[in-house]
Amino acid sequence: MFRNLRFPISLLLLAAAVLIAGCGGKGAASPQGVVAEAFDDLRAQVAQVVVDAERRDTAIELVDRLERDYGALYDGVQERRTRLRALHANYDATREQLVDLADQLEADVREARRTTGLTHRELMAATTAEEWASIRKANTKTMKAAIAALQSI
Amino acid sequence: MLVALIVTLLLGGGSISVMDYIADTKKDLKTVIVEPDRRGSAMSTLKAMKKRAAAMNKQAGKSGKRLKKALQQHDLTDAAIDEIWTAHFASIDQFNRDMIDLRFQLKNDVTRDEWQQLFGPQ
Repeated sequence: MFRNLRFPISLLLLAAAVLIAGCGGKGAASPQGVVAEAFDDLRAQVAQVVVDAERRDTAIELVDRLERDYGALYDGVQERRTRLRALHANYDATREQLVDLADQLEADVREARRTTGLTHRELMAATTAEEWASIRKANTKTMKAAIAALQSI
Repeated sequence: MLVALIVTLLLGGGSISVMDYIADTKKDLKTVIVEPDRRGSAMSTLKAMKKRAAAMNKQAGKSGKRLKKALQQHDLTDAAIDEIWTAHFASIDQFNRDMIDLRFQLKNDVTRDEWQQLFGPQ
């Protein structure tokens, strides 16, 4: 599965995005807008590069799924981080409450890493090596935008 | 270039935690806690939190190097990558627990009112 470097690079970019989701940071003015634009570019690139209609539809559906999964991750991380900070601010919060919530957040990130990794595998399987080489740049741009948006939470 | 990006993200992504922001209250804490003994003790705890966060960053750097090395192998397997991530997530779990413990150590030196000033809504 990992015998071709094109796969781990793509997967690990996304994995890095979800891994660092627990880290706060400063992002662009509208990081979510940048992500949406990057996904649009990725879809357009897939539509242009994948010539077989059936595989093209499949690939675009997979990009749609990646965007939905990313959106769910973003919302989930944002919600849990807000809850965690609020809980920390509560003088009477218990250790158990804080550990449970931190664990929930980490579990979200791990699950996102797993599901997005699987979707990436499917996306790669739906493209030829040549097609993927053409798509990879747009895919990398999308993952970088996703990383920046998650850091901005 | 892409490998470098991955490693940079792991190395330079800051402290990989949801709790490390607590350690950034040093300046506020100096103002809010006026009693020298408690302030000194609380500052020591914040220093410990910073130190722990730095150690986590160092650990993340090691994970990044392992990833980079793994990616250079043409016979890379799912299991090899999973092992790296599993170890990394385990270190994050331990880090979160350590930071939570330090959070309660900090609380021992901070009154309810001071806590509200430090961490409550602005």
